[in-house]
Amino acid sequence: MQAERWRRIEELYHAAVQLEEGRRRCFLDEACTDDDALRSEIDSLLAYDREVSGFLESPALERAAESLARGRAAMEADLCAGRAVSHYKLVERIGRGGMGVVYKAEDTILHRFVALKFLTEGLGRDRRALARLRREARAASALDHPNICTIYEIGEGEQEGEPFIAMQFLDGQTLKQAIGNQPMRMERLLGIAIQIAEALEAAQGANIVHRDIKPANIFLTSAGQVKILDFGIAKLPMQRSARVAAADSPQTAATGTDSGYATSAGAVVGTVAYMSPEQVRGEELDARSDLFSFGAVLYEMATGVPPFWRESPELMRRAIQNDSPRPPKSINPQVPAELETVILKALEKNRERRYRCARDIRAALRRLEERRQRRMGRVQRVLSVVLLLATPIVAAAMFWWVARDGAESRTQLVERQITAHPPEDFVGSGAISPDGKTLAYHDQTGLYLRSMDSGETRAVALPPDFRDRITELSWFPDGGRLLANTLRPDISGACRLDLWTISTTSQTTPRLLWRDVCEGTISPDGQSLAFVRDSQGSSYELAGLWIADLHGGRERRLRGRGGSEWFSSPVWSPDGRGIAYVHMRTEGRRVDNAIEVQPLTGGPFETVLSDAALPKGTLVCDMSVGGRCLGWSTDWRIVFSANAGFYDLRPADAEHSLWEVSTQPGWAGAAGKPRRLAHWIDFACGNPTFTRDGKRLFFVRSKTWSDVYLAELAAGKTRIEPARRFTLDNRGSDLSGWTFDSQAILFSSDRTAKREIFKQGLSEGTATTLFAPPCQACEKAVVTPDRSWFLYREFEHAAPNEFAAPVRLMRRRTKGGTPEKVFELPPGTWHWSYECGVKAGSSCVMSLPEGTDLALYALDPLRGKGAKLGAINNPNVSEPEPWSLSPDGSRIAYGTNDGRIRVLSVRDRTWSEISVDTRWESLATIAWAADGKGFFATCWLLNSNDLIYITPAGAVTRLWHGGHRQWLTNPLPSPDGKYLAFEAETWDSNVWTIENF
Amino acid sequence: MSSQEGDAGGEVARLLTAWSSGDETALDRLMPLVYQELHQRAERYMAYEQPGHTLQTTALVNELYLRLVDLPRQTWQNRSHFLAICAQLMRRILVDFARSRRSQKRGGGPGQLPLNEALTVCSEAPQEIIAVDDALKSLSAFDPRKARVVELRFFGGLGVEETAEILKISPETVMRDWKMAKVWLIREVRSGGKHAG
Repeated sequence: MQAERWRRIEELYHAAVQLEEGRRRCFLDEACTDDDALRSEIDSLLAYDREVSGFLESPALERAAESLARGRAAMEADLCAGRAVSHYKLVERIGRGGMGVVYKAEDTILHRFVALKFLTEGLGRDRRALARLRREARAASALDHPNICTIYEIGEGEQEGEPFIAMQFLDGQTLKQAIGNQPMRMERLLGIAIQIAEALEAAQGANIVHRDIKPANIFLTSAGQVKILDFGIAKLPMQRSARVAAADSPQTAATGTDSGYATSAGAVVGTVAYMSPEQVRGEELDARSDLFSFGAVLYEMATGVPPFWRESPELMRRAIQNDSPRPPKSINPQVPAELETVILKALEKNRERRYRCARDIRAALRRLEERRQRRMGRVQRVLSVVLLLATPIVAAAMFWWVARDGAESRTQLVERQITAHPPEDFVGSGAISPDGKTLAYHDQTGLYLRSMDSGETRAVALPPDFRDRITELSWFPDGGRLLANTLRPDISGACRLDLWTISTTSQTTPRLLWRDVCEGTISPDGQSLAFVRDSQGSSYELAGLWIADLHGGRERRLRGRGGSEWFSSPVWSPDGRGIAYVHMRTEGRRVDNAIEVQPLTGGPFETVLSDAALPKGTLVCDMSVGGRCLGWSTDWRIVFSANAGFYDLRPADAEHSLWEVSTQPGWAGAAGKPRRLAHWIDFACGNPTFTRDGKRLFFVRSKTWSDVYLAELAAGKTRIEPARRFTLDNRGSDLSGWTFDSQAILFSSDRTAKREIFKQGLSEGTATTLFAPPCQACEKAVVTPDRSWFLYREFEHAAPNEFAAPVRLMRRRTKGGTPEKVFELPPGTWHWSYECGVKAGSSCVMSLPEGTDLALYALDPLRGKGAKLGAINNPNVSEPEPWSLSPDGSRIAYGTNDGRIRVLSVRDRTWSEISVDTRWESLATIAWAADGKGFFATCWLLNSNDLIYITPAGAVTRLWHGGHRQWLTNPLPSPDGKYLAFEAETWDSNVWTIENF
Repeated sequence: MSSQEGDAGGEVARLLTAWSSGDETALDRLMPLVYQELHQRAERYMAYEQPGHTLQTTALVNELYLRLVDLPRQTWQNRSHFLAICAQLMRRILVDFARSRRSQKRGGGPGQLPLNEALTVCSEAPQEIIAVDDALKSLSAFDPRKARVVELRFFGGLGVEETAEILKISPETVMRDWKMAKVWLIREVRSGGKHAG
């Protein structure tokens, strides 16, 4: 292609692609006059406009890997059930590691369950590796020890290249799951550690080195027994690749040694973190290498973190060789000094300085255990003597003295604000990284990571449309990735979000993890996802609480929901074996919430706490600001938000609080009474997250209210100058109307603790009350067309809330005077409204609910309700004022749910219709333009609140984009048509922390 | 670090420096060294990768850089060169891989596949990689810079900034090139190459 022509194509393409599709044709007609070939070239490129955005967006390697993995997963699932291999029948897949796939299978001869491990591809075809595997496994199968998982057989399926290992089938969890990133209690730690040491002692007696001692290879059976898995076979694939590497290229022989295993992030991390220095260097291993790895496991049990944990495998290798581990006591002060000594000795870099053999370390651990038991025995003896001899009061005091140890350090709670964003840039959600070093949060400009040490903040690069859609963030347990719940650009719905994975270590585009769910959260082992799925339309078939296996993609529903109950805020237990969530039930206006735990191993759910356990009127789980309302710390405390009065009082008067309740490890119900951690009148909180050590709690503290916003109209109503927040108080303001001269706005507000009506001049920053003396609880003041009356509604002053009180339409002379009642409506009348035309000689109209309709009546300031003008069938009831009276009072318009505006002529009571551009089919509120031509409207469309202008012909221009958090409503042009006022939500929202928690 | 490993790393670093300062022959010796490591890593990465759990290409390449080159006295130019080489090699590796998969798939008959074999048969991604590679060759004939942008970003997994740095153009130009190249390539790939030239 000629360079000149190509440049021309490029230029035209870029210019055309930016234009709306309708305008492209004109542009190209002009640009390509007399050059049909050029024109068809551009057209054929533009034809791919829609497809091209997703094309090549994820790097080739990732695409290839993902498609391979999906193929594998699908095949594995297919091949699994019922398939026979040798004399085993596969039952289900129970795991997948770097080494291969593990199935639960039935031995058809001996009629027992076994675990069958199939080896990863490649290894199966490597004859020499296979021979070595057999040799090692045979040696290991000779190990008969209660703490070593027995190998029954090394076999081969009918098809070539399908070697497998048959092992004892175990029921329980791995040590990795049991640790779950938190320190273990000493008693449990020592019990497990001694059994591991005994197994290592037996293996060393038989001269067998394990090579891959790590928490994931240590199994705890449900009976409490420790079993070490994969003896003698754990590291074979690694050695294979070392040899392959050596054969391929002498230079890289050593580099291949440990990287053989190390490709997928999980495998790298799981393996490298526990390697001894000699293993990292690729040297010959001996019994003392296993002891180093054991030391690393002990360290993790004592502190919750592996000793050389770093961000990448390479950094971990360097740390293992060069860095001294942080003393365990500095991470967990509960670690006894003697245990610290044992751990640090096992972790010596030089193997000469470690324990010589497993027997020595076992003896050291035994001594520790005996000492602990002696100490406990003493306490118990003292206690039992006291209980026998002393009065109950002394006994209680004594018990307090024994038990207060842990409680005392918790008394000083310190609340601290972490982000200090103004309302214009409020924080949407935030989460602390497991290591407590990084806060991830998003605000109105993007997603950020803040170092908690230096305060340094860096932006995470995201596609611009993506960052607007994030609703909630949480960390993966590995601390390198974030899970973002995001609204979809193509489907609206509170629970039809996408879950994305965002890397915090590299600048790559987010990756889609799951579709059409909400409140997603990752398990402590990073392998599973819990989420909520809501009814799709009216079908509850799939609604409820779910978990999914991130690798196989298999989903399982834990709780199903019906119409009047639902589930929210799933959180994982620290050991990953249960899910806590809030179970909500509604009956009329009554709401009952409870925190429940569903064990994943089956069995019924347990109630941890219900509203009854809190002060009267307080509800578990504060839904007033959105976001997750539960968190479960690594030391088994559930933290939850609560509110009192949100459903009864005006939201601004509700009381919000944050609580904790301890649960017993293994969640046999609540262990103790709930304790209130913090309490606010006006702010609510949500999204609690913890540091891995359980010492710091982070949460988002928010408040939201409606404000009146004001913008100048320009360019024939199709554009507004940037809107500004007009009401600057933070107690909420609702737009009522304009004064006739277009110089001031009337609004009602709670700012004086009563609900009053205010008037504020366009150029003024403060408002004055409209009436003197002021009314007590009133709102929505309009001026009658003859300009002699204000009409407004007033609620029964003494009533605790507006729903239960009668409501009156009142009038006052605009020149001043006493209030007079026009009429009174019974309590609970909702969605009634009134409007007056602004032109002299026009009239007023009111609406009243009648059955499912909203009836429209003439309204006279003196005589009240007049003749019926018509009715709106099935109005859009989410908004109190779905209709609007034209400035001259001659027509009433309302927006339907399906993209039409219906217009009623007041004079001849006939309806006409305008079809609105189909992209804007769900109009929430509507208002006539000041000239009676066209409308302003608000609309919720595909997760976005928009303010739009609609021409009399139904064409639409967007004036203001509120995004998904900024609710927009009630547009109202000034009588002179120069300004547009509307209500929008303002947020004050920041991340806070509680220390010493 | 063992002496052998230090040597391999040192060698890569030395060659990189030599090449950066104009020694063209250094590249010939450098490529096989990097290829070796990258190939192993990419293959293992694909073999162990699990859905929804992917390590990123950049992470993989950066880890490799850290391992082979990150010695004192390295400049950021060296890192750029290294990333550029990786992108080029990754393209070769993935195309080879995709070709081999395609032939495997064709060769395999119906009936039950052995477990491990079955797991490796895969979907459309390889097909697309080959098609993109072919189309890229056509594109580079008349607009080599755009072809390089795609190579660095799609095969090298690099971001806009890094790509801009390597090609010594502005990020805006990278984005503009990327957009144009993508639409040209997608037409090429979807229409089976009939527009080329």
